[in-house]
Amino acid sequence: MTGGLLIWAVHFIGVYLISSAADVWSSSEAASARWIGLAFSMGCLLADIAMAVWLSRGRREVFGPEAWERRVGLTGVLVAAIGVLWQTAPMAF
Amino acid sequence: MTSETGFDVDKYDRFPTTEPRPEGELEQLEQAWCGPRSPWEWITATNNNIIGVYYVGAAMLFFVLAGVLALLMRTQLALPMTGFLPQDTYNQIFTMHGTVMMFLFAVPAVEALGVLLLPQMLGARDLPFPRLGAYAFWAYLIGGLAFFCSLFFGLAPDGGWFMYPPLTSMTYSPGINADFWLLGIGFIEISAIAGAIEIIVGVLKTRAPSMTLDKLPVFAWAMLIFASMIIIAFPSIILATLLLELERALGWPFFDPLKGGDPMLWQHLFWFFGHPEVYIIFLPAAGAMSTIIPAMARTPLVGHPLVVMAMLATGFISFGVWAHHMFTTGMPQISINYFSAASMAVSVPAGVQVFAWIATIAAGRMRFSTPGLFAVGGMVIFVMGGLTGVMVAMVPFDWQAHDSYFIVAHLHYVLIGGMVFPLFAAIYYWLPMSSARPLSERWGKWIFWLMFAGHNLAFMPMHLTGLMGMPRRVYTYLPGRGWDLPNFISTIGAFMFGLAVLLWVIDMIRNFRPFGPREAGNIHDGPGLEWLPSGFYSVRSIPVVKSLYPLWDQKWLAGDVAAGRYFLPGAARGERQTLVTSPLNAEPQYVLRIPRPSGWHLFGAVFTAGFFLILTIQAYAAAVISGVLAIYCIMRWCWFLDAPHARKTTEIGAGIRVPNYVSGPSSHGWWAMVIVLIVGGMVCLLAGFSYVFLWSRRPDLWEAPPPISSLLVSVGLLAVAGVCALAAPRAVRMARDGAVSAATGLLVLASAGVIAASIVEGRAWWTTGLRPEVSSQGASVYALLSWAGTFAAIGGLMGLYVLLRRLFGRLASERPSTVDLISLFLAFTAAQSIGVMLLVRLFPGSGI
Ligand code: HEM
Repeated sequence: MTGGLLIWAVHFIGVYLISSAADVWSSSEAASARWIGLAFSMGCLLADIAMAVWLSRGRREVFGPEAWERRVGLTGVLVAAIGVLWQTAPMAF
Repeated sequence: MTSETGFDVDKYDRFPTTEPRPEGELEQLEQAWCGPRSPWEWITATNNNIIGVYYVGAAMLFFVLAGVLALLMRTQLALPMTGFLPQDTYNQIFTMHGTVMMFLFAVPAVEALGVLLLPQMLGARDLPFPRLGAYAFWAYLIGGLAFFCSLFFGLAPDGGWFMYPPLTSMTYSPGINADFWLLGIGFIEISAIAGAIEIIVGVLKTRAPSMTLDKLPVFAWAMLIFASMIIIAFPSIILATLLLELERALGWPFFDPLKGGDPMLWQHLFWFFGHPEVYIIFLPAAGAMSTIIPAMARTPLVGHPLVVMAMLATGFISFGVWAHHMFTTGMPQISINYFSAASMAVSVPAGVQVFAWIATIAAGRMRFSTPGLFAVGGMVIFVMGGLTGVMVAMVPFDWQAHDSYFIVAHLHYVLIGGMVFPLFAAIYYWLPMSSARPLSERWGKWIFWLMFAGHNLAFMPMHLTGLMGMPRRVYTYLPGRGWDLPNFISTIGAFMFGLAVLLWVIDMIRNFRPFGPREAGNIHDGPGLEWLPSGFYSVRSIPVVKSLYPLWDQKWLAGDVAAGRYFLPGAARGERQTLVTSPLNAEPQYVLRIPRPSGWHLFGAVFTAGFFLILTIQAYAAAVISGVLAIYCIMRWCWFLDAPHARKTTEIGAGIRVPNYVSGPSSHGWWAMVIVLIVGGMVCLLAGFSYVFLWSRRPDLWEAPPPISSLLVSVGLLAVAGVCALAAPRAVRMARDGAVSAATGLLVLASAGVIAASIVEGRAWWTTGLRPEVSSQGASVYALLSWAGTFAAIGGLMGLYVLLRRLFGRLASERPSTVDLISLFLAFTAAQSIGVMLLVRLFPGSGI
């Protein structure tokens, strides 16, 4: 249910760690740091998509607690994907 | 629906039962849960109906006290160059106002609401650890009042509510004012964590049968997320206050750049707590709004799953935006950009909730009685605060507005709209549940409009004064800058707000009849279980929940519950009991015996508060005595836990029997221990972050660690300790003589092992000549070791405790919980110590 949101959390902590580490060794603006950050973000996005596919597979009950949990999980994945994309933007520009 | 525990869910169809209840059953229930009969019993009470009311009352007391401070500030600022408050006093007053509002009012008020409402909402008799709840309350009240009184002696802190060093270092704040803040707030946060443990386990484990996650009331969802956030965020402020106090008292230079420290570390630690704190305050209030608005509009909440998702998302993202309070500190540009993007993303889940409320109001027939007015008024104010929030999330704008009155306006719009108005809505909505008379509707409307107009008059002009350049935290200003009129209007608004609060206090005194023989009843036609007829025992019988809005959808529920036709309709053997259910599907698991009140939790709270307060005035011997007494009282309180049961099972209704005792991950105690360990682990993780952070600032100061041989000894000892700890639960369950003694021996060995490893590691570092007061490396290494050492010392106490229980015959193979929990703690301690030692030895370079 909280899988997508967890990926979002991993992403924002990850990009912060990558830029801080880059700042210690060279500069957070360095092209290599940006590429690593970008690759990491793509990884998170792919994980998000995988999570969405996993949540949508199988039985399709419309009512009941399991259907409800899946609905919450899927919307969480969607919001997380928007968050990941949005926070990747600074790296690309 | 698949079963979570193997419980046959078809058994729910046996309820409501039809056969008559036995004679005298209700009387026995009432007798078991009878209210206090003497003044002493009122003080030592643990029932959530009583502690919850005390708790809300205490939080409102602090709201009024901090409000009086706000009025003093506004009187001083009404006109330019007034001499009403001297500069020093003004500094103390704004610091105390912010601190008391944030730490003694906002968080405790919502926690209090949870303690008061959750058991009834979930259909439980009480929360699972009532004495822990009462301990948290008394620690908070005593600590909070003592902290507030520092103002009367000129000893109140004066460094602002976020206490940035170097202003709060010994050089610039030499008195004990800052120590009051550090020790007082650190302590109060511990009490907040105790409350959070109670709430998490309560929501996950004591729900009415069949209350699956989709039927969990939104308020309970909000409280669950709120309490989980406390568990993750508050360790950061506990660590920060510890480090600053260590620097002030012993000269360990965490924040002193001359010795390799960095004041930015404080900002990171403070805001890793401080920003989630805003959402910690906002979420339960939002949960209350999502409960009150549908009830007042008489229609289900629009987009219920989306609202739950939005609350979860808010919980997660709030940990990703801490550095947006630090845009002006010279962080790397790209990090600033990430945090700016994250800050804007926060508005998505907040927006989802607001749109759900608006849609619910539009879909139903909204009643604008006082709770409805406060809910809608709060929403309007909160949205305005959210808009200025998006403005300050833009970095160039924030550079201009930072530390100006624009920020004061923004934070009050968010806090008052997002928390104070919803809290008043909640008080007006739920008060009939705990009082024989509701508050006056006529007065309520006056109070609302005065507060609404007063708030806008007070804080709207502050946007302008801020944009015109007026900095925050100034005790006066020169005339002729265009600031005079807006400041004067702000003061008028603040007094209108104050008048509204005064009227509310008078109305409470006129009408509030707590603990009366009857309640005012469900006057709002609320749909939740909390509106079932109740007494000190909460509900007469615990219902099977079939809907998110049970009182709307299950027609005869109230009557059947009151007639005892559902689960646990009596008090078998005169015991106080509640039903423990599984965390996801709420399937009945076992009957929990709830302890009766005793004085130990109260004495424990008094002496714990005494320890911290006496430490502030540096009377170390007295502080140690108070600390030892606190430990003694807490051990006495635990002594009577895990006691034998007369029977193995209890019939909980319709012929269904469940055990009276379980151990391991199904038990509520196991969950509480795991949460405590998460708190400890978080402090350790953040201390590890501090260590790496300080190294990254001044790697040139880092010296080589001691030779690796001593590390092998300490890690070896810890590994043995860990194995012994993990073996103890198996040993106690062995069906043969000596099982209990074997388990005791293993635990004692484990506790000796963790202590020995701490000593070996401490000595190894000491012999290198590195001292904590010399450099940031020394300070952070010894801080980490001290943290691990404190756990080892507590592990030692636990070893002693288990030995005493063995000697007094209070351990048994069929009751392995004590052994399980101590084993969990010791295994964690060993693992944590290994992590700490490997970090300080191998990073940045090994001592091989
Ligand atoms: C009518 C009610 C209130 C009034 C008139 C008021 C007034 C003020 C004023 C004038 C300041 C700025 C002091 C300065 O910078 O010199 C301030 C700061 C602050 N207020 Fe309030 N306030 C009210 C309610 C609240 C509430 C309900 C909260 C929190 C729940 C709150 C939290 C704060 C905080 C955190 C600060 C910052 C303190 C600091 O700078 O260290 N206030 N308030």
